[in-house]
Amino acid sequence: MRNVRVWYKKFGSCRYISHLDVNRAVMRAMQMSGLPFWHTEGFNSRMYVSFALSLSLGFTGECECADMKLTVEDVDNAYVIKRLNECLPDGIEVYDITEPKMKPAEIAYAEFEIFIKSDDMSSDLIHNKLTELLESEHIFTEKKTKKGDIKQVDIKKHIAKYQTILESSFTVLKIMLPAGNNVNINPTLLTDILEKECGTVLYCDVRRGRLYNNEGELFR
Amino acid sequence: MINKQIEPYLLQLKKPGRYVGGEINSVYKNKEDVDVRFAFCFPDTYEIGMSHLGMKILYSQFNEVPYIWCERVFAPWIDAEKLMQEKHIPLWGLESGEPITDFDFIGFTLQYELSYTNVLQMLKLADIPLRSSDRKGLKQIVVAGGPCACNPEPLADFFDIFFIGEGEEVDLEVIELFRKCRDEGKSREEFLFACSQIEGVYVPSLYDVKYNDDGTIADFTPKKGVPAVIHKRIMMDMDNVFYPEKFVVPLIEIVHDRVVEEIFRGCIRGCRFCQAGFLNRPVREKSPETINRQSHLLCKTTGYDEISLSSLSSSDYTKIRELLTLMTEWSEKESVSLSLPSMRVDGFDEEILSKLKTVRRSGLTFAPEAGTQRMRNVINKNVTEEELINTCTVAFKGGWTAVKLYFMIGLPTEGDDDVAGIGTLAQKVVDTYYKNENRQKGKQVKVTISTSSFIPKPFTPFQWEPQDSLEEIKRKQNLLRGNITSRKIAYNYHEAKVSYLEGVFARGDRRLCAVLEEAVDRGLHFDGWDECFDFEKWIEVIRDCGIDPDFYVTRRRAFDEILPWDHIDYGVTKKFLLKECAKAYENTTTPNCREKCSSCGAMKYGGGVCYEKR
Repeated sequence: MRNVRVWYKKFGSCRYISHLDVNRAVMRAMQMSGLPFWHTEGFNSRMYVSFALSLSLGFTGECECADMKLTVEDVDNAYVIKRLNECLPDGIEVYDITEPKMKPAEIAYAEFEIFIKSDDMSSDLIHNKLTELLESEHIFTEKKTKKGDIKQVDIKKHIAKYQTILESSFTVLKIMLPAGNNVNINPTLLTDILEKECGTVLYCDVRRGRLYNNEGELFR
Repeated sequence: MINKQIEPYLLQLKKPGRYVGGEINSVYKNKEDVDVRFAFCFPDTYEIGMSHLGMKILYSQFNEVPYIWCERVFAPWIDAEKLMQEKHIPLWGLESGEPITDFDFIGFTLQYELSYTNVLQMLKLADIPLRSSDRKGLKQIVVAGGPCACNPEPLADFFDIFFIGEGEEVDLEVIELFRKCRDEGKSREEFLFACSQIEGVYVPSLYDVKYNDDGTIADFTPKKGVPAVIHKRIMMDMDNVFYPEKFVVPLIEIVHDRVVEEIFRGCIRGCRFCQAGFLNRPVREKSPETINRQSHLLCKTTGYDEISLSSLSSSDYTKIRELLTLMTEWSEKESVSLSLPSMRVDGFDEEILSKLKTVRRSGLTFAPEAGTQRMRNVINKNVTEEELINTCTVAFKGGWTAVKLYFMIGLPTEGDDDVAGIGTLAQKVVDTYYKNENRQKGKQVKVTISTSSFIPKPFTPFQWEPQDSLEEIKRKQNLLRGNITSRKIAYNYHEAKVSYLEGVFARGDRRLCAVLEEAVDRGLHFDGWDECFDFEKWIEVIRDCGIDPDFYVTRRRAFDEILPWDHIDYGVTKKFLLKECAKAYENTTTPNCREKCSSCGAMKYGGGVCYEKR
């Protein structure tokens, strides 16, 4: 038995499907591939796959990963990558397979790149609003807990680091936010506030990049 | 390719995955390399349309032809269509992402009457003139097929062509003819006339209808040189009929998200309410080898781990044991589960049960259809109470604890005791569970009964019958509810108003075209969806068009009346239907096709069950 961490990108049409849909697409690709993936035991036996961190519908992902198990030791990683890509829809693309070094539970931060633009507001105005927002002392928002309660969260204290870039037709925000099981801040919480501040519809293209643990080491 | 105009707004929509395409096995071609662009439209949401087998078959078959590019189009949900109208984004094909406005063919599949308004709404969204008389030149040929094309009259003004019967051959013949006519510089009218000469093609504009003062049809006449009767097309050799090697695998979850393998067409039973049973005669089976090969290949090309063996009555497949033995040889090893929907009460035994259970357990649903033996005889549902109880005994012994039972109310000759009998029968099923000594301790039985209201359909022995009024259906629903005393029985019923509207269009005529157009103008569509269905508004539209809906729904037709669909031939003769109707009134059953031929007329197709050795 060999544990493998399968790294993939999510983009294109697949950007618009939910995490559950990605899960299904990956399971079907595993089934279709005919590769020796390990099946779970129990009444509803299925191929084992476990995703490190869900990705919201609408986001693209640059470094997504899922853990799988191969029952045969000596399968060539390059072949597994090739075969999975043949079976996956356009928009989910495997680019690497590694041996898992950390547990998914160790994931603490994720980096995001957000491209913001609007039909009726110039990008430097948006940029100003954005900088203003990020420089304020607190950024309060309401967040639903798993129990259904609503609690006040100060996003500001969770922002590890950020950078804004003003381009001619859009504004870019690069930001590191808590991600994972303990604290998770969805960047749309921030863009929703910005949208209110701007008073107009913003188109936000959110791309999730690399994942890090609590010590700031790259998740491997 | 995602439509560029919609892309910025996708995240504002519910389930944006419906609108993006990009699924595995979808077909992309270079538009410069093809001669004919075909928009295959399903007049309902993506999740419903993508579950439909006919679309999968024709999509693959069209795209096998190098010069045709067939794309899929579904009805955008109300949030998306609102946005499309605001932003002036015409309806597009999922493959190219391009508007279908100037496509050569716009094809619809007509699965149920309540999707008719969606057909018109989709044409509107695509900027295509609704009425065939308003479309010019050799493009935008709007065509339809599917079960509801058996009475195409309520849609006659909108369609250029209806395909009667099975589409595998005739669709391609028409497309080929189109290509030829265009090469020769023929006009739209010349093309349509030429189409009318192909068997199985109905061109409604080439027929004139006159009405009597009482609203019935006085005369239905073909124009010069046009056939008076349109005969259905049918595929007789099921082992060689086209079947796709791949299904488009949706990115989002759909209603039937699995491999669907057709095991036979038609039904030997002849239940008198069932339109499909008469339209698809005679029964034609696929061999176990073909089914096994096709479904195994489909699992490999899709990654699905579930196969549904589809037909109108799965347990009537003659080689079911042989088939299940063949399939379980590999299905268990590959963790693929098999399901047999549409099982008959009397076709259920322990051996079949064990084969289906090996991988995953599916629910148990039976359709006794009526509560008393007399009523079941009237509708020719040849199932006895004893058979149902025996079947449930087997199922309960096998560990099942939930059974769903389907019934109809509002059937011809139905009395109150027949309605009450549904509750009595359900109670007997509950009692059967407690007679099983091996039942799991602490587990309760759950019997769910669902009733739908009977809608008389064309080409059935009940096509002349009145449909129950809304009040009568409601009264019967209450009567039944009052007859259920056990908390182990749950009762669901189908909304009577929906059935009433369906009844208007099921046996409607050409005068309803104006009603449909007006209804869509007033914003009515997605009538099959609770959140959109507006009965009061519908009745208002129908009355404003000067039409009495009861003329179509609750009126008893005379046996010699010219019916709107009389010019269409599905093989089953009117003489046979009349005979069946008379037998229904006498509470008499008719043996199934394998027991004895009843000379329905389908023998003329020269194959299938009519020529099986008995």
